[in-house]
Amino acid sequence: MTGSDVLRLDAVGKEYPGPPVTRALSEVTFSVRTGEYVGVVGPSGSGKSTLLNLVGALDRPSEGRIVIDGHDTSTVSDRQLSAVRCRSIGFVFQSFNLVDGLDAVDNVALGLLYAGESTASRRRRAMTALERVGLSHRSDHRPSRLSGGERQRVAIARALVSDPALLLADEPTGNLDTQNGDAVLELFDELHREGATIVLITHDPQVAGRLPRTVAIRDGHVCSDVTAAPTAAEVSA
Amino acid sequence: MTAVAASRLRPADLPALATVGIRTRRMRSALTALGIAIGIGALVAVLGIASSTKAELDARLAALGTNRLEVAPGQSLVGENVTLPPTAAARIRRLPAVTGAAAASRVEAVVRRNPLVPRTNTSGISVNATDLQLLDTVGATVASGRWLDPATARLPAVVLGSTAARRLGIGSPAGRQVLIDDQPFTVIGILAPVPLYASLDSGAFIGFPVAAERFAANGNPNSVFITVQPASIDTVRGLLAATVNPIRPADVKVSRPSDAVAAQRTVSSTLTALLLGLGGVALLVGGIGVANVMVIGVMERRTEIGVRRALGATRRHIRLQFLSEASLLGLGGGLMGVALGAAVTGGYTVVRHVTFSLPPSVVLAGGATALLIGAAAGLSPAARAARLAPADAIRPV
Repeated sequence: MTGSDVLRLDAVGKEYPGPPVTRALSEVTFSVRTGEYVGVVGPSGSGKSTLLNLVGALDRPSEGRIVIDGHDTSTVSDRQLSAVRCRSIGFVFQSFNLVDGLDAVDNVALGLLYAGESTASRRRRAMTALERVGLSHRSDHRPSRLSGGERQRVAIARALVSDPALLLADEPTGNLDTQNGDAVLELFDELHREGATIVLITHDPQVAGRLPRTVAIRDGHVCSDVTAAPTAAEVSA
Repeated sequence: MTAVAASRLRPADLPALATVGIRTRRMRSALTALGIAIGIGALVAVLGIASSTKAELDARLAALGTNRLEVAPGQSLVGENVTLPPTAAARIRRLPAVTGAAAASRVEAVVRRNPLVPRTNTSGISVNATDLQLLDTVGATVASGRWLDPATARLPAVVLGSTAARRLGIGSPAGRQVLIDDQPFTVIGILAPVPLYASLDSGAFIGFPVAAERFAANGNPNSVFITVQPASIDTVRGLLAATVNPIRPADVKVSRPSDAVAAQRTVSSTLTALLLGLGGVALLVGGIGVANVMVIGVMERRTEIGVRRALGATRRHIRLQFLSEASLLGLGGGLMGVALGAAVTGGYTVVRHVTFSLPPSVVLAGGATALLIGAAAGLSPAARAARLAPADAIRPV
């Protein structure tokens, strides 16, 4: 279940202009292949968030090269960066970030709003994405009438709806209780089995422990990159 | 590297996008729009009322006709009252471009309903000896009965103005008689109200021959009513005084009744300009309200902006969203304001019994102005929203 690189970081560094000048990342090199499920772990202040910004095309590196889904984001314009986010990346946030005024299916369809698709096609694909996360029966509910776990599943559907090359989740279980958090992680497992490429950023070693590969960040450097032996389930898949 | 297909927002999606903020913050949006509505409403009401008033004055001016002149005795240099010669109307008629001239001469006599009414009770009715042409030159019509003719002008027959008939308690002329200085006169007609010369309504009109015979009236006119061809009015006006009294033209007072109405129109337009200024101030305050609410909205909606950027929105898309929202708030307020202004104008026209008039251009300008003010107010907040770095916006502060 491996293929070409979805994500490649080559000696990436990031410095924030000061004063004082802050160095958040240096010499980060790793790549993620199609279908991989990678956890990025590290304590707060380790540079995880900066890495998320770079990997998510929300920001550009100060040095080095990042290639996302075949697009070099190191030197492109803000507009092209927006386009990469639009076409190649699906975001899942810690605090869900759904729009209160829209029901579940419209929130999911928002993931295609800036792709220029017709309303009918957006809603159709949104329903399909909701089915994938097992929430098609909640499609007409507003976020305020959904549980935390359900909201995060709607947010995951929103990230999935455009069939992005990379699913990028930032502490997706951070605002959930253990039970709902586990359900969300099981959903990621399932998406991984279906072939999705997932990068999950977390500070929680327990969450990281269940992932096939973990990249650990500390003080702006990659300090370990470990791939676990495939589980029985994965072998059979 | 392969080029990535740019983010694209379909124009069809803009209405829903522009109303997200308004729909989720209804109370605030309504109050913001109200600020604009009051400003636009004030402007539309001022213009509507001015337009209705002007329409009314124009109608009066049109009815009055700008082709009418009136000659009356003036005052001599030392302040004595002077008279017009009895031949004044005949002389005026000989002028080119004059289409009609009719003299009315005050007769010192008291009209009474019957002998039981004291002689001192004049009821405010003036007796006038008149030319037969009077009816046409003042644009009067007979409500019932008939006007004087060459025969009845020699007989003790009288035509009453509408107010005079009411004061004497005479509803219809059929066989009624009144006393003019103890002499019985037969009422042969009653005039409809004369809109152009309201003073005629309280008059009683008899012929010159009978006035001379019964009351020894001298026939010096108190007024000569004149109609002229519109194009020649200024020429005729200049000739009148010398025609009536070649020796002392300064003793003749020439006036144009429509001038008074025209002056009224000028006064009302000055007042309108003042009120428009006040409405403009209200509108400015409304615009600042929109800007204020948009600034707060952008601060509150940082995360939403971040999420939209993460979903692929470009800076332009974000700017467009907030600019449209502000414009829409302005437009909404503008429509409310136009309705408000139209309602105020309607109320005014009902109370003042004038014709409702609200030019479509005022309605359009009201809506367009509100839209532009909303857009102008949204310009800076929208630019701020677009400038937010997505990485910063996405994290709650």
